[in-house]
Amino acid sequence: MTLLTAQPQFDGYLQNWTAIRADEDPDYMMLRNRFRLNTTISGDWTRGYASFDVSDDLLIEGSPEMTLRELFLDIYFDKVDLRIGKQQVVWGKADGVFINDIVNPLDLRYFLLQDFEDIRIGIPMVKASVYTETLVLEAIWIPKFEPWRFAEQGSDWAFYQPQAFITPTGVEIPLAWGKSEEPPSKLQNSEYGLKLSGFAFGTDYSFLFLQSYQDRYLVSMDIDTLNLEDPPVKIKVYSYFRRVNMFGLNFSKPVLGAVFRGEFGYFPDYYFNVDPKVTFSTIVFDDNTCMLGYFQGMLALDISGPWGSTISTQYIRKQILDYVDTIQKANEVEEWMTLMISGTFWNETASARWLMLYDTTEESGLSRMIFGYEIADNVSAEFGVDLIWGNEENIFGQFDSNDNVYFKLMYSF
Amino acid sequence: MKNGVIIWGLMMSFVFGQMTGRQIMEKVDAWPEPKSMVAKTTMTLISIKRGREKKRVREITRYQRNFDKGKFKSKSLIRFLKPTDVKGTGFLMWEYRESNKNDDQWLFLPALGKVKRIAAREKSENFMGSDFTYEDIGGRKLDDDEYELLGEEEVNGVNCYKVQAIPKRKDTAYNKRIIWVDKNWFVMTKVQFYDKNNRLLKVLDFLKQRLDGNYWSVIKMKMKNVQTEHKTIMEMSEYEYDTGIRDNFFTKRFLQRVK
Repeated sequence: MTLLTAQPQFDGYLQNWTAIRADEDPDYMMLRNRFRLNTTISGDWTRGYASFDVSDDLLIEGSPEMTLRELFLDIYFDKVDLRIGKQQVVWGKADGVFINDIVNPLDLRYFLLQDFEDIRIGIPMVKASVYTETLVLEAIWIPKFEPWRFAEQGSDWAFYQPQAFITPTGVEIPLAWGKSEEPPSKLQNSEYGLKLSGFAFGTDYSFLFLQSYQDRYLVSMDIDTLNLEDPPVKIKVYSYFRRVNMFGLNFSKPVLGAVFRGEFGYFPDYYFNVDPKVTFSTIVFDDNTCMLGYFQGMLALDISGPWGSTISTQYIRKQILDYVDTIQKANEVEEWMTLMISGTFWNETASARWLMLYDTTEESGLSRMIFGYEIADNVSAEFGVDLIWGNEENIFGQFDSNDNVYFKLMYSF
Repeated sequence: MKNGVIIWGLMMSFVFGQMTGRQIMEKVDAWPEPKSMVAKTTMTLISIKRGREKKRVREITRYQRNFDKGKFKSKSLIRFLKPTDVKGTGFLMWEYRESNKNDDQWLFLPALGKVKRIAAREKSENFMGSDFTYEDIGGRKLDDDEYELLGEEEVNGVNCYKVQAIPKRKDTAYNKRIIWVDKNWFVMTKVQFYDKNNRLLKVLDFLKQRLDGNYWSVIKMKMKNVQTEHKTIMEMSEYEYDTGIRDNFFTKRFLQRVK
């Protein structure tokens, strides 16, 4: 059967997500209605897939938003699978955090509280998977870099962005943030990667290589030297990106009824912003980056309990090698712990899940409790509580005032 | 071939008139297993809420390959079709011949977009929220239990042997099972499961079975948990036997391939 003669299949859902700030003065944080339509056409050796989304958040100007999430064609050969088009590629083993899972940009407009399937942004790429008896080699080519998406400044989930530069003499110079400078669409700016996976001694493993632009953007000023005696009225600031290499390793293995898994990523040269050079009368911005080795890793244990319960804990460590004190907004070592406890009840009609991400270095974190109930085969409800705490300049702490309770109602078809 | 099988079945009741419980179960076990199998399964989960029945439907396609020799006993891949919010989810299992070696299992969740390695499930865990456990679906090995013939009884108009099966090891959710076996065909028609306190827990009724060539196909069965009143009706259709599914079908490559 070819795609032209195949019958397309449709599925999707309608969802309402209402979130209310858990505060002395509660207000709506989200009033979002979403329509998702997925289409699949399967032939014998081909498959087409499209996922389309219309989302209307009554609190956001410019809604509704229409998105073509994914649109790709699969072609299956005897030993090779090809996927061409807008797609998501998942390279990691971690849950809720992104160590080696960095192929697709992230949509952080609702921080890490998006539905899992929406946190990665589908991007155009070509993926080829070559299969042998024991190994799988996956090659990806991304013609054009796309950066992460963040919430608009001023909204609830906007990341902290300094609005003024403060000189050593205490003068505040307003910052005007310009559009980020993305690399031009040229062949030499395309990204590519390789993943070699296998299974041996009961262990799933993968070796990874990715050459891409780093997700953490760098910041540059439009002036090279600031004269302290005659400071400018404002400074224009823009973000830009640098190209990096990543070498990674993933594994997972069952041990005594639990699953032990891990992933490690190493960047030989990762770019960081450093403090400008300050002299008696000037501040020099011209070369405000440094390039150092960077490592991030994760070890996890998933323990299965009775009645469909699971306890999953992850330890995450990020470390800048040969750290220098002038690096901006990054600690030498960052350590996180995550914990997830989940279970199902009444023949899987109801479910409960508690997820906690905790930054042990900054003593900040996020806790999400979810209670789900299946009203009918195609109607489900979810009630949740999000608690966020920490210092206001920390990744979690900046959203300290965003504790919320939410309710989701979903009709699937 | 089919006639031969029928005659063989009828002969059984004469030749093995005075059989032991073990011999009866050996005959049940002697029915051949297909080298490979595909079947669509619909499970209707029925609960009683305020005197009214509430039904939920689960639908899967199961692919299985059995091995006569080598390190694997079987490999199976289950594709979830309904409800729609889990559509596309896949479950891959490699079962080893070595009895002390745990199964290898992987789960593909389309929403996460990745294959997750999972620990061998507790056999006493319910399958997809139904009243069947993984152990009920996978079946027990002949040598896992001690058997005793309790007598003969009629079940739904069928003359049956009544056999008690007591597990040799404690790694099961049941204290014992009472099994009714058709005297003519040596297939199970009903099973009672007793919990660890020796209280009746569940009753399984084989409502419809069919002989397809050499293989028995269960078409419809009902499992009722008498302690919670929850029940599951499992209906199998679109059976395909010995279609020659290749070994490489039971890999992560095909686990992720959502049709």
